[in-house]
Amino acid sequence: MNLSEYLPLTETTYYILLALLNPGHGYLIMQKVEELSKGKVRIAAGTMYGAIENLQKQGWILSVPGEDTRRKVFQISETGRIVLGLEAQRLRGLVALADQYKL
Amino acid sequence: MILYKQCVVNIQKLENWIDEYRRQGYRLVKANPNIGRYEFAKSKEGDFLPKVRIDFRTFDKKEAYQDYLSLFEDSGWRCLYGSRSNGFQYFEQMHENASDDIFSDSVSRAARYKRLSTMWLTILVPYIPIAVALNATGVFGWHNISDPKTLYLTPGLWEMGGAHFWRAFLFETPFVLLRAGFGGFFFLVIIVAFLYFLLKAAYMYKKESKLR
Repeated sequence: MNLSEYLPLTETTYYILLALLNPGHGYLIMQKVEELSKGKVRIAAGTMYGAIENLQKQGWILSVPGEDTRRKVFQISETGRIVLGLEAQRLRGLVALADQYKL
Repeated sequence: MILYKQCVVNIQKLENWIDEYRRQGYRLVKANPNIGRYEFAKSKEGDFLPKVRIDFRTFDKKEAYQDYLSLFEDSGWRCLYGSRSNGFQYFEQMHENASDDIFSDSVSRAARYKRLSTMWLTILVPYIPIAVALNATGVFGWHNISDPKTLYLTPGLWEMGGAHFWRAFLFETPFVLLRAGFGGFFFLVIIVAFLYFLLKAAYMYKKESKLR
């Protein structure tokens, strides 16, 4: 399967995958995304829950055991890491182009 | 103040309805979507008046539902009414710092309707074989429609006139409906209603997910 077909990622997906390079539960992801985006991206609870569900179905994140029984903990999967890497590469290419044209 | 409002598909409309009372200073204290009963209380001036937002989602496992509720609570939304299997989940803000809404993009907000449509479909499906079986056993009574006069058994009914006729005719009609098996139409009505809700929810999903 060619993972490049899934690109470009939405901004939300990109941030969530980035946040889940370290394990964390839903609310932790929300806080991490806000911090990573310097407050620009704020994901609400309902949107977050749906995003986690979709990413898990796609196999880009995995549920990992956690201490808190009331909160599920997730982490990026091997596939998720590859997709994130491909997206970063794509973005670097675009930025390099912008630099070349002195934008 | 107790009010009744039914919601089968349009969640947005229900939220707007609750918002309207919020603007007038009423706080939703109890909700029961199964019977469409909503209890509001007038809140005191200066009190925090929480917003109410509704999600639609069912859960197979208790742990998954708990995880879902924890996520909302962590972000400042308390479950006002909800059940694991019913699907309608009502949340209210816990404090001023809670996020403004439970969805941050239109696609995830519209996805409620996709899940709602799937729910109506799962309810509808078991009715189809029942309807087919009933049809095969002649319960629907289609064949009776061609000659309805023969269904009336009152001797000499069709020769009667005026008030005499109408009294006898109307008296017998309910029995005729039962005898002809029009009770089977009840199933058709249910199926058509479910189909309508299912399609309406699917349409709402299409429409809302295009909004930006």
